[in-house]
Amino acid sequence: MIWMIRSSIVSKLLAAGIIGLLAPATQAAEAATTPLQTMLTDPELWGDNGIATIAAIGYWGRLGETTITIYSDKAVGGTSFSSQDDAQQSATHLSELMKRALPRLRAAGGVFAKALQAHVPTLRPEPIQLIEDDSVRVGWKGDDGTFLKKNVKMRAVIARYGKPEKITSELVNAKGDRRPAMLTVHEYANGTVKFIQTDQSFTPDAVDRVVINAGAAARELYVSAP
Amino acid sequence: MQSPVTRSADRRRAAYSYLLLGALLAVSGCGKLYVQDIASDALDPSNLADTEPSIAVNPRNPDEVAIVAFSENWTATKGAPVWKSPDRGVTWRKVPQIVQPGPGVFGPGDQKIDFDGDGKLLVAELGLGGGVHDYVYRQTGLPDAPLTPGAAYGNDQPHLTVDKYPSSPHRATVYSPWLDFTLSLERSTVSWSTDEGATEHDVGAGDNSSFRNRTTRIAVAHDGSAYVVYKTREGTAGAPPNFENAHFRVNRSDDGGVTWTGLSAAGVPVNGPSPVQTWFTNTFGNPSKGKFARARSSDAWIATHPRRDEVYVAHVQLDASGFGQIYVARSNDRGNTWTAHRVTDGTHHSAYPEIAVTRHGVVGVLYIDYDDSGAATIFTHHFARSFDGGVTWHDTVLQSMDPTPIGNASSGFLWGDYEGLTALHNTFYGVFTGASSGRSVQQLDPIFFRQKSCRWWWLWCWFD
Repeated sequence: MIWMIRSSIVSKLLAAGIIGLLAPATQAAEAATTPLQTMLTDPELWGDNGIATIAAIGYWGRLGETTITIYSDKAVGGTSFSSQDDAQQSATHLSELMKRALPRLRAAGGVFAKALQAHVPTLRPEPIQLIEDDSVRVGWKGDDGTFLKKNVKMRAVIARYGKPEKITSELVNAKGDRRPAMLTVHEYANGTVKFIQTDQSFTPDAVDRVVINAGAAARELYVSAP
Repeated sequence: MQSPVTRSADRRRAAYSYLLLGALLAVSGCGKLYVQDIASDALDPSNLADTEPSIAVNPRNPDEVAIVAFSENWTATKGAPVWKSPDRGVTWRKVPQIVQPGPGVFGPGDQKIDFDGDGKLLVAELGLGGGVHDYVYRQTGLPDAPLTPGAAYGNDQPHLTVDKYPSSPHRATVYSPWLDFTLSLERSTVSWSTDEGATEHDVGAGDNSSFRNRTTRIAVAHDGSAYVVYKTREGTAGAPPNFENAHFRVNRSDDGGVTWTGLSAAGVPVNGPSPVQTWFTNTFGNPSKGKFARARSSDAWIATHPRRDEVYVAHVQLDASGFGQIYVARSNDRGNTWTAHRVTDGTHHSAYPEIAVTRHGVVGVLYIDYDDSGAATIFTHHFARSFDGGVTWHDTVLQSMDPTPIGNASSGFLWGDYEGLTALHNTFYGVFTGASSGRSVQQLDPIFFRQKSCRWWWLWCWFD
């Protein structure tokens, strides 16, 4: 009997100890940043507007965009509009969506929360014409290097995050028959982040743009769906 | 003992025999097809694909051959290259003389090369920067010095030719056709310049009142008339996948490009009143069996006889064979009426025709077909010649290749929208983007070819 009581106490103590040991660990896990979060907050890759775009990626999800492409001077959604008017309507809609708060941020929220507060209010959705494929997109514009840092070399990305999981090629035609752009796509995090080089660049070894999967990134960033 | 008369006759016979033998020896060597990969590891260390090549030969010195391709981009400090040969294509070097036309402008985006009648180089280039603009570059210094870009003009796919004929009233006029994509229905447009591109004048040449235009190509005749061929895109009703209905129309300018109404406002359709079906596809080839190419403006070309009123148009037409075929239509009356014959044999899909005509009227066509009957799609470059004004054709295979294992062959844009063929005197000079030879890494390279083209009994042609 005594043995049974002792055993029960010991079990409870052990359980309490384990819980006690585990509790700080769980809190630590919540506070830690995943490799993807590290990549998405890397100041060597992103300018202030770039961090803000990633922090605000939930707005794009609300708009129905599945990808966001971040260039050095702009960020645009993946939807290609047939006219400036259609794109303007979507830009206006995005402005409305940006008035509603986003869900609470997960870990590394400090960097994103700061960006959301300081930079997102300065971003104005507008139609943006992309010369590469003659498409009209909705996006935010800013000074060169404020979204994706200028002249980030792919070898620097590999040095920081290892070899890409996948490298593919993609050809982008314009409406006309001028020389198409040849893209080299470097995928990380199961395709959530794609670093892209283009042959139509004065620095073809540099990252021209980064495409982020809006849904996957939102799941990484927010505690609930945007 | 032979009489003096007999000895004299024997000597004469021997002399004729030696002359004939010498002529035959000369002829047999002269007419040989010469093919060469112009790139090397030293000239192309980055293993670039060198797509969409264009070629020109200096009329003042036929030994000088020049080629442009998508070989290197220009930068703020270095020009894009012109490939140059001083010896009829045997040796080559790259001259970085196509400079950036303005700050931040990227290119080359499309290009075409020619020499003027004085042997000076001209290049049309498309640049991307704050929009799409074209520039004609002219030689204002030494032959290898940086070329001088002219006024910005135009839009998509600029081409170029210059009136070289000494007796032409429009000698030295530079014509650059392009497609105006700023209009709701794209229009074939030709810019003309009498100062080699320093200033440009844009003139609508195609009829876009009902249909979009595409594939605008140009040629100048010996009398100074200029001809354009373009297609009107007339929908896909009844057309199989990858094809659309079209007319290939020719129009003429008799006033140096100021107006394009020599053959009525819309021009004359070379294939008659009924539309034909031609390629409009991003998948020329078999996507399930390897890489493929785009063929949206890869279906027409135009050339003139250098001495007679003959105009030739090579174009694509889906015919009863079930394949997209190459046809050549000929006009003997300055574009008013046309007669067409098929170049290809009705066994494979074909496209990308370029056409040229020699001084003695031999017609040459460079084109590509593909064979997907095996495990992989095999693309073949052909050079077909006609010695009877385009009625019958003699076909030569230049090269067959499977581009799929070639690393720098980009599926969707294997060799570009067009390639290069020209003729000077009695020799054809061509360039295509094909499988390399003699390179450390197997890749696409610019492949040069030339062939003197005469009937064997045209001795004056061989020695011309």
